[in-house]
Amino acid sequence: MAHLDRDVAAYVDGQLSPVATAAADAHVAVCPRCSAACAQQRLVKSRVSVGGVPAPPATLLASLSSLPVTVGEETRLERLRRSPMIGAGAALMGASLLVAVLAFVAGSAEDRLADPVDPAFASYVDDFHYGYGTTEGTMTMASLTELRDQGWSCLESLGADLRLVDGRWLDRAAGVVSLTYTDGRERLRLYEKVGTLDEADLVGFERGTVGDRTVWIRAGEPTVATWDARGKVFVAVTDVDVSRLAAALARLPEPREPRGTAGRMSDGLERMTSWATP
Amino acid sequence: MQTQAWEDIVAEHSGRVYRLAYRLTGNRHDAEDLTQDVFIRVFRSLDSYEAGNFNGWIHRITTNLFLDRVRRGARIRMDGFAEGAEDRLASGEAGPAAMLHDTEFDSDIESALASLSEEFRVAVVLCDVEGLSYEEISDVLGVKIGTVRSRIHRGRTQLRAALSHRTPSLGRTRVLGPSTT
Repeated sequence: MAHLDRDVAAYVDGQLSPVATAAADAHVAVCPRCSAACAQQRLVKSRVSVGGVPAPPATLLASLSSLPVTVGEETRLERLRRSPMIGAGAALMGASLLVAVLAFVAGSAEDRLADPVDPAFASYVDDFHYGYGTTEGTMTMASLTELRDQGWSCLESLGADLRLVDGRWLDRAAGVVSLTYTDGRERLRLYEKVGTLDEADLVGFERGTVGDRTVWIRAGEPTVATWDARGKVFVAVTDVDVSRLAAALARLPEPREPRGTAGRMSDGLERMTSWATP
Repeated sequence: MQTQAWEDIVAEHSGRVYRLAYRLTGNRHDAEDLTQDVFIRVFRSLDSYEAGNFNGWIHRITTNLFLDRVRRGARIRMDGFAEGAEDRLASGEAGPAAMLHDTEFDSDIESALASLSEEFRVAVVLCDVEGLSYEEISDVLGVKIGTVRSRIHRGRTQLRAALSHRTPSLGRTRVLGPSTT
């Protein structure tokens, strides 16, 4: 047999066919050059394979274990988003495109009472972390009277221990009100704005139940919960735990049931049918 | 999916993925980043995973993500340095545990592996560290067996050349201390 040459690796790795292996065995036994080449490859192989095996650091393992929380939120949200679209697709097949569009528009009639709102979550979180009132001394009640006069129901407490310590316009032009509740240690800041929640633009939130309330929630530090009720969009940004958040939400207006595209079309179709047969 | 089931997957596969990532990238930071990316991909794809060779699937994800990174390599390193460079430097501080951790490995082999082209390195690592057959490697990398055979042969030949420059001389003792290279 000829020298192994480029087959040295495959021979050392036991990857030659049985026939080729037998021939190579016979050759290596009598060929110093191939025997040396095989010995060198075995040496390299053993050094690569025997080299210490690093164990993954504990911080990495902890991070991997929590992926269902960090990644799972958006994955489940994507699924949630997809499912109403499947419903909408089925509705489209049953109705002509024109009817579907009419139904979609008709279904929105109720929503037009309040404009869709895409809450500025990032700026709310920034405000929660770095805005006014991060120390108790700077909190004021100055604007509370004005807000109440304009019809904002600023509850004195949320749950047993979260007391209202501040109420003001976060952004008067945009009509965003901010209410701060605290037990002196942890805080819940509630942002309110007239409108309906634009659920299509919620990124990183998942539909979840907190106590007896179903809201859109994004767990984290701080946790953010949002919903709409009675023509207003509520955003709670907080570092309190789930049970206290549940107690707080229970005091606030109950979330409106989300309808999604399919629900909206079905409402619209129902309304159109009622027009046809009064 | 259930948290416990996911934790089982992490417990069972993280060691192997990290080891492979470490051998491919040659350092702890990139190995951690790559391992994290692999598990994110695994988590997102679990629904579409069809029963079969789970290890092969994870090998494929790891090597593909690694090769993707290599293709975007220069940019990643620039970005990595620009953003959070302090964090990297801080976590890269060799505390006693990290030094012990690093000196347990054959740094000559690490350097020699790093000198290989990525395609050769992947083939050699899958064969020698992971113990995959040429057929399995060809499957993971999506190349012909002949190509695998050639890459491993040439990769090991280059490794030997790189190691021959680094053969420890007699009397050189490995000690726990700052690297002299």
